[in-house]
Amino acid sequence: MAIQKLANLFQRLKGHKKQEENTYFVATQFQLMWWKFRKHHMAVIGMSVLGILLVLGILAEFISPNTPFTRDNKYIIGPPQLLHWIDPQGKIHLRPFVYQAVGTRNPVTFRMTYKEDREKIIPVQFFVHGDPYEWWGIWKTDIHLFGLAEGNVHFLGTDELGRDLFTRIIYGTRISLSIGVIGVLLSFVLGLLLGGISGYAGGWVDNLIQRFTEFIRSIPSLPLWMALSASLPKEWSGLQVYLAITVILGFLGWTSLARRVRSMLLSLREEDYVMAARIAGCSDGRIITRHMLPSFLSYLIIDITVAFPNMILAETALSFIGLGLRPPIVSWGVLLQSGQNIRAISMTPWLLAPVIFIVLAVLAFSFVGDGLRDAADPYSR
Amino acid sequence: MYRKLTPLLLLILVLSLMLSACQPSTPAIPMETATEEPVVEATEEPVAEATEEPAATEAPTEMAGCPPSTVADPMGISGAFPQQFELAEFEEAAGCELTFTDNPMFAADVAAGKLPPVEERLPAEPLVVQPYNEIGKYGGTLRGISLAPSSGTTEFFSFRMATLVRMEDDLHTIVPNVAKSWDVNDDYTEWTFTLRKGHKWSDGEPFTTEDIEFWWNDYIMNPELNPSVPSNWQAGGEPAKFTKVDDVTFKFTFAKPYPGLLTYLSITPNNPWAPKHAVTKYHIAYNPDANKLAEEAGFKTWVENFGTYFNKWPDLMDKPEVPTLDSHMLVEVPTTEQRIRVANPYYFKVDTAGQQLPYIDTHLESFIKDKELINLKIINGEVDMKAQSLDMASYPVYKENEAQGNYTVQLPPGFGGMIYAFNVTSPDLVLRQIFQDVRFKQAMSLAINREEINELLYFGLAKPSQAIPSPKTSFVTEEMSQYMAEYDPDKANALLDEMGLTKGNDGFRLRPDGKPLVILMEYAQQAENVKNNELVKDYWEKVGVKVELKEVTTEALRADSATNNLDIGVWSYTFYHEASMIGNPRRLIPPWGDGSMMMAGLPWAQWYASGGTEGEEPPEQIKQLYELTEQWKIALPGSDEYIRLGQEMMKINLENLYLIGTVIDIPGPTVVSNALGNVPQFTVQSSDYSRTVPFRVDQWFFK
Amino acid sequence: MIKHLLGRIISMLVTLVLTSVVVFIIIQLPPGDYAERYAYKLEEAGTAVSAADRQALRAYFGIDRPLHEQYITWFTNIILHGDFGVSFEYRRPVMDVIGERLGLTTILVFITLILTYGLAIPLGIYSAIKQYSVADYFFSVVAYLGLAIPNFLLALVLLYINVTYLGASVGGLFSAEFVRAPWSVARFMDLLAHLWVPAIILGLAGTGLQMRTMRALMLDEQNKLYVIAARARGLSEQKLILKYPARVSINPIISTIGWELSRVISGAPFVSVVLALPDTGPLYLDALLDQDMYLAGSMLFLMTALTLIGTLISDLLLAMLDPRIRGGSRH
Repeated sequence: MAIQKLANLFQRLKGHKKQEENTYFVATQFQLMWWKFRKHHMAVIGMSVLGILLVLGILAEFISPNTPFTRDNKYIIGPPQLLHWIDPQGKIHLRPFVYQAVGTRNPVTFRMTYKEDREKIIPVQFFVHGDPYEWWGIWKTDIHLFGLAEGNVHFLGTDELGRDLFTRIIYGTRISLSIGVIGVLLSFVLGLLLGGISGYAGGWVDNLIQRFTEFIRSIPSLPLWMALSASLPKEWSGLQVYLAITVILGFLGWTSLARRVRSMLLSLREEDYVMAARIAGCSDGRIITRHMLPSFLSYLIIDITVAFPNMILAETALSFIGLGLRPPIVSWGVLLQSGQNIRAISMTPWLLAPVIFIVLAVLAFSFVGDGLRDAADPYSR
Repeated sequence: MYRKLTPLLLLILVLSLMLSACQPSTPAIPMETATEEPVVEATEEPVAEATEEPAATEAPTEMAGCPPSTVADPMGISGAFPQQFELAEFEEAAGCELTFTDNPMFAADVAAGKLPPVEERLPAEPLVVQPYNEIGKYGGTLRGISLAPSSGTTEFFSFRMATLVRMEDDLHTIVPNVAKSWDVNDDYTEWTFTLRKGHKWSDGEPFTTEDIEFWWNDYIMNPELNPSVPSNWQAGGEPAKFTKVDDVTFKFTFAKPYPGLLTYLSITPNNPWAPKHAVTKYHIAYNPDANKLAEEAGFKTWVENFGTYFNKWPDLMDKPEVPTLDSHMLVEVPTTEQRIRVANPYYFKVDTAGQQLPYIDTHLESFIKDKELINLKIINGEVDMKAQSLDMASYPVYKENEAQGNYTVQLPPGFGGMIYAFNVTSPDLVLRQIFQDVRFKQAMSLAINREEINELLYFGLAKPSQAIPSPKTSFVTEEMSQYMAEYDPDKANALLDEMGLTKGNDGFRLRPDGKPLVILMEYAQQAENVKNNELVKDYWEKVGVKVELKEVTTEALRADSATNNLDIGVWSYTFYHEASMIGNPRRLIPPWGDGSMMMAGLPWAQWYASGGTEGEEPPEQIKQLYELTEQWKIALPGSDEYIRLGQEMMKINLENLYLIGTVIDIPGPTVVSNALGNVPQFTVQSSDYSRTVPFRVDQWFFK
Repeated sequence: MIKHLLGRIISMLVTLVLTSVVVFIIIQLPPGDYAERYAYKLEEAGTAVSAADRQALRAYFGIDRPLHEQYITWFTNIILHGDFGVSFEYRRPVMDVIGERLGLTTILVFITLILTYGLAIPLGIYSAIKQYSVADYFFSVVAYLGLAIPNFLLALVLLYINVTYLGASVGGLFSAEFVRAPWSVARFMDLLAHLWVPAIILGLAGTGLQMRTMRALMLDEQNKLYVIAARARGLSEQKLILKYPARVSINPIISTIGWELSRVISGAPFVSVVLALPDTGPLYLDALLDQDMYLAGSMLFLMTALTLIGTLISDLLLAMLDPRIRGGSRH
């Protein structure tokens, strides 16, 4: 059923197709790519998801109703609060509201349970005054996108210390995404550079770089990570350490890309159109960027979009063995770790909410990658 | 945008539902049939064998007419020590003669002549044990979990551990165990112990004072195996002297009074004996070719090789050919997954019906690292007893699944909470000056909301308190527990203002030199509660003291602590119970910790240890503290002098707030299978009392 | 060809020696050593360990000598006697410890590989042919979900379901009573009851990545001129796809399949810890965390060796399958 609906949705989205045909032959390469990209509907959805995540990350302070360290003493390890529009009397409210939650502790198992007090209706308001914050350190205010006039609203529930999970996940978005970007960009630039030099120059340069690549490749990353995380200056905060390690792993993670770039260049070098360009007197730089690069762009894009989710997942995995980011830093991996137990799975499943964001981000990156690849493919029509 | 998002979300939801719903269903059936059966077989087998000798198990109670006295119903029989008797003592008190019977699993070997009959295997003077509730029956497999062969094993080890003397479940009476009796001279310098006549190792060889002499002369006093004599075997800086009197009597003589020896012996897993006949082959003093044997086994020297046969650290030994005095013994080489032990046919105890202990046939120890997997095994009833490394946070899960897992959770008090020690000898002289100011520490203590910590992290079951040892400690008072332990942020702010620590623009206080006051709080994940540290950071920042929280590896933390490089020591209050303090009050003197985690004041400790040549000279009150400690060590535990000295030591500690505490008496969830009989209410849950040793696992049985 | 092969083998050996040195250093980099870790465990258990005791432990474990000396002894013993040293944790020869788990790890890796490639290759081809169809999206989402959900979390959730709703025993590959039992029908059934969780999790994780690669490569190939030419010749679509673009697309997958060989040693560290699988994964992770030097060093050494051998095998396979490469052009 859901699939049928989805298919319908795609049918509707296909409407754009017509006018492409007319302008096709005068379009620039990027226009062509964009049109082809749009054909991959999941990629378009993925792009939107990434856009939303990006906005959430940038505007974290404003969008979240609290700060990640605000503790709500009256709502400890409380479940997600539901939005209502209709009150018990059947009256419809224009402004959504939540009910006051009343917590009791089971005297035998000590488990907290919350009940909605249907008498106490608290409307959710927009642009309310709440915890003061400094937006990226430049703008000091206490206006939040939404919240309650008094007290707190927790759409995704709270953790053991009563901290709002929604807020924490949004702050985590900023850290998790930015760390992925840094690591990936670094290894991308390095891979492109070294692979490019190796493939284009050939000879002893190629040989040297290849041996070096093989050597780096053969060092397993897990022990390296352990060693590095332990040997950075102790004054560095946990975030700095992690950033440093991301950078270092970025420096080590370029090998597969470099290999790919090299082998592509090697085979492209012999192609007729490259030969033609060379005879026409094009400079090496121009041949690489204008003639060769576009033809293997698709592979690079796959590598990059695979690398992003890998970075995000690596962060969660390393948090799992206590080597990644650690509290009080708030990242998806750190948040997920506090849900990685039987207690959370059986009693407080909302602590697993970060996984939804991780899955969304990874799916989005993967589909955008697929879309870009399809778009960049020079053979497809 | 959101409209486009919705179908994707829907799809994810549908898919994940499908994933979880369809896959598990097929293999479900074989799983259920496969799991339970073999356990039943294992427990029933010995019973089936017993039919060959039907009289054996039934006989004793009726024929000899000895009353099956238990702790619950002593039947009017009592002895010199609670819950146990010497054979003669019991027979006299009960007016009967005890006939011995044994586990039917030995019957075949006895019949085949591989094992002598039970009367010959037991010592001439066996220990008669009063079971808690009822006379037990033989059989079953006790399943427990350790983290790895050398990690988290103390609990499982305590199931079978035979100590020289034993701590009773009231946690202060010490009773005979392997030793039949002991004696001490008036000034506590000469301790005499007597073993049981005819006591045998699990391979049937006699256990005598030879084995103790060997342990002392060739193990403890061998500089290659023990570069220095363990501190527990020294008094006044000199090692004890060992004297072998006869086959069953030996003496330890100390240079200074050592009243704490008995307590130490009752809780240590490092027993003072070694199976001489089985291990001399690997010892260079007895076998010149010992190094060759080591090389054949893949080791460099005989020291390494010897260590696998006999070691001060019991879990380094995994050789089935090395006999034991414990209730269960190794019969095959362990794998990386499991260790199996079976009942020791030469165990020295019988119950009041004359049945040789232990009741339980087999001990099965599985190695599992992942905490959540352990929790799953518990709620699934795959563990018979587990308490070590279970935390309070998971208590609701254990409790709610009691019926499913067929177990009961007990909550005996066990642990001290997190403690914080500002480094009063910080290399940063400005920080040092601040940390030595008692007003600062008072403010920091008053800023902590202990009630809230208790509520949030321990369901209100612990007790908010200043940093003190267990309240059961003889020299600890309620007043100490409440010293500067109330929550009063206003007073804290006032104290900090009074010190001149003014606030900067960002609301955080500045040091006298104008730099921001930032405390780098390094902690190790293993040191318990990350959340506790997050809360404390929150409290302190509310009174303007900025805290940089950083998790590091245990090794990195120890490295920093060992070089006096911490701003603040963070650890849980280990060595919390009185028994573990005797001879070494680690938490009361600098560095307020042990060799691996010095909390603060390391240069002072170095100064004292080196006799004033290294480190830094401590202030007067610390010197006084050291002096009190020396006197306290030679006072008889529980005596007025001992209590007075203890209280003075506590007073110096509290007045200077070297340690700032949060809560005490955190309960330790203890899961015990309902299938087990004779399991008492646990009065403590701690390695300080060797886990289950006071609760006599050798008389537990499967109902 | 033979000269080329010889050159490869020599450069492999050089890389192997170099990495073994680097690896040995890396293991040492974090502060502390096994003696420290061990002392910590003892203290956790309530046994006091003095500084002298620590030194004694160091001597006992043979790690009181300088690093280069330890390395040289270790490495020469490997070369001369095939002796990889003794594991500190288990106090047994390293090869014994690894060997105990090698069989089951191989089975697990084999099952995982079959699942991964068995699903990924056909699904990737199908997705590419039916680009932008509902089926394409559906398979992609499923495959990417496998990639996206953190393995260790999924493992825990599946275990929880297995316990609470199916009442099965938890973790490992056998129930406790079957671990040492001889093979029997009951033991085999017990194995099956435990095997499905790891199989799903390990299989699913790899499938996403491989399927994605396969799909992308297929899309690249299927519009190339030689395919169009073949189609023009009137080949049936099915035959065409399998004979031309699919065959070409599979090359890059084959060129990396050799790397999977090293998984026999590394196992699946994270998932296996959660599932308590008796494969080499937890052994590897613990050895690293505990600085169980010879065990960790030997495992890393073997992994490197297998990666290099795997790459070689992959290249040889490739040469066998692809006439262009067989022709002797540079790889």
